[in-house]
Amino acid sequence: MKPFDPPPPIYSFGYKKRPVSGNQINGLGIKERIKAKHVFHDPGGKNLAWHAMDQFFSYITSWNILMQIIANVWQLRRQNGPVNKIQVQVDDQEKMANDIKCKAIELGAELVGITEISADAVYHGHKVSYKYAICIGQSMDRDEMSFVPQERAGVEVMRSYKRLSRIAIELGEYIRDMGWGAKAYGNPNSTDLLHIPLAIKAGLGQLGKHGSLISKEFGSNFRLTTVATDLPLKLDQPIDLLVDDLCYNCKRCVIDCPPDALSNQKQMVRGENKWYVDFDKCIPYFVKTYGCAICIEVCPWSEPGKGATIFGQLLKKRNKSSASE
Amino acid sequence: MRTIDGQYTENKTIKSRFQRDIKLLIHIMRMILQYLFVGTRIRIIYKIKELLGKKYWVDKGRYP
Repeated sequence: MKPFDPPPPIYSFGYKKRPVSGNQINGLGIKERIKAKHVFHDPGGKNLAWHAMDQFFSYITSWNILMQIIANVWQLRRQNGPVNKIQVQVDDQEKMANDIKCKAIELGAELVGITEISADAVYHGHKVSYKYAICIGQSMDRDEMSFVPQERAGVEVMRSYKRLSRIAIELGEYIRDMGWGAKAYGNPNSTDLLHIPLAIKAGLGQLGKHGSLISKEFGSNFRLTTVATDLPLKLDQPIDLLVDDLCYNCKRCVIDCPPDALSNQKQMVRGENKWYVDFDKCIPYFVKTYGCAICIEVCPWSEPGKGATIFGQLLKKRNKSSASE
Repeated sequence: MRTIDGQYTENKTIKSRFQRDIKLLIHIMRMILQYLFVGTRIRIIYKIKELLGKKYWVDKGRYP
């Protein structure tokens, strides 16, 4: 897929007094394992280094996008709530995990995985009192997303977050009805958790060169939400889709990224060597183009029905090379 | 993007749920009004500056 008429990365907005680099805040080049800090999307009105740009983004967005956000914010008032005093006892965590996954799928989820909430998946200065994370993914409408980086794709992204929030809210209510605490972390209200590291641990996919998750089913054409809970559940394991085998050779997203924010090499970020998006280059273009999303849509994995084929080909290639060694 | 925090999600009783909904409605109304009034002004100034080939400073009024 080719991006729909992307504008050049020339900006008639900017900072008069440039804030500290977003890459520095994100921990680029830092070898120690430290917690992630919020840089851009503003949790609860705190004054972040890039707050002014975030506010500008909110003001120049379209009315249609704003309406999707508002509908989502309104439904997220139910993200937490009273817990049933009578608690369902869990003797078999595997069975309970399967029941929860079935319920999530019944509610509209397309990808579900369970993992433990580790300290590195919680933002610096934030607290999550729950033990488990139920990571949920749902695909976006590919026809609408083919309009990236235009407004129409931005509306679909927000519509997708709204659909996901509803699933997370209803799943959270289902768990609380069983007498266990649960909180739905739907966007744009997820101020505590990092969804991607949790989803990777829960086996939903792997990190791609474009800094987004790649799943076998939808490539990167999907969005995430998380339900944090104390309900005892059997954990899933991370999966190896051989994403790196393709990402090291494929340059699609790097070529198609107008502000040149992607790199062909992994970089050291908060003690982990991983794919990284240059924040300072990405964000101005992101602001200019309703959230851009070119990189996730041009990714070969995002072509509908291609994921399984790509995985099969990569597996064949790897088996062949390991046999010849 | 604007976010809401935990203050709107505490809903132990019917009364607190009602209060939460009112608070959130006020928050949403404020979001819409800001978009319509502050946002329209910003969008117009930004467009004019863009046409004139000048830059709109997002941190205008924030620097000393």
